[in-house]
Amino acid sequence: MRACKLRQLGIVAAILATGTCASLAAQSSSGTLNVVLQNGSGLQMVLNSDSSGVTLGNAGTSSATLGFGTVGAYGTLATNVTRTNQTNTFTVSTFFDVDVAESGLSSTSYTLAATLSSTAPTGLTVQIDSVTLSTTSATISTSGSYGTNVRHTLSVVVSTAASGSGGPTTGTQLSSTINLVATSN
Amino acid sequence: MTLRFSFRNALVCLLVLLGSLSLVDAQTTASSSLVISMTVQSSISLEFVNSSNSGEGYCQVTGAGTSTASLNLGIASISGDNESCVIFSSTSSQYSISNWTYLEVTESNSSSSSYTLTASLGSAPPTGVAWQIAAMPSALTTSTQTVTASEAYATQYGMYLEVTVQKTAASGSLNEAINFTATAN
Repeated sequence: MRACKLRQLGIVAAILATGTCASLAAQSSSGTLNVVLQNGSGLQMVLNSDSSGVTLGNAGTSSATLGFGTVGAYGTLATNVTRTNQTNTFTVSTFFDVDVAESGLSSTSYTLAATLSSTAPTGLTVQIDSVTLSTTSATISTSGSYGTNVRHTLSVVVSTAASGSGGPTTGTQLSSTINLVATSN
Repeated sequence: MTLRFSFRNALVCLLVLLGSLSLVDAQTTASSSLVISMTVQSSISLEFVNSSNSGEGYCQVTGAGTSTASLNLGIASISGDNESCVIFSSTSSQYSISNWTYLEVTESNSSSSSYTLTASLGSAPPTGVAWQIAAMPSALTTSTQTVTASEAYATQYGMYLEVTVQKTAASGSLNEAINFTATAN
């Protein structure tokens, strides 16, 4: 009977000792962070100056400006602006580049379309690659290549008529906004 | 129970499949804007042209269609001229060579209906030599003089140009530059 009690006392002591060790081991902890990322698809378009074109303002962004400067049917023009004269009109032209990058797509080309945000000023007709622009979307190309500067010709056909007779207002800056949209094919 | 579980699995698979299909078919777009600007100015152009007539008095100019042309009146003396296209006359004290010369002025983006034409010599002629345009009251000088005060655009304007050489004039080249300026009225 005494021996039995001693055995029980020993077991209790062993349990207590084990509990103390367990308390010391609980000073480290571990966890798992499950990171979730979904690779989506997307396009990015920026406008760049062409080596033979007018230098763009905000080149390398998706919101650029292009100034033809002062133009006339005769006389000098800004650098990299060319002119052709036709009956009743003259056309000034320059180059600009479009660079479209893609990610997460199996598409190999894109379609480029353009619209004017509002009707062109009186006496002016805006064209890209000879496609006349309006407030309705017009397709410029259907096979643009990704990841490279694609050259486009921007032209403005100017009526030679006098202001008030169908021609543009002279002596003041005229502007027009072209909205470009690239769509993966 | 087994059938219901299978239907749920099938539905999940269908949704996953539809989701995958929509990812594959989705067209991705990117947009940008390009603001273009220009200032149109009124301008006029002067160019020399050849007459459709030929024969005496109608020498052809080289550089027709441009604003810098040349007219060859040949080699002359009081005894005559080696160019058959000129009109030659002489007296005992002088000889004259005449020729019709044409120019055309066009205008763009202007409400002007006529222009004024002036002329001047690039340098004073040698002693005993006088250049004159028949419409003008006196010989040309290095000072600007009015040739015509109101001429219509886009029509050929003919000038009867005459050079008179006194027999006392020294032999040698009588080359002369005659500068014309058209100004919109």
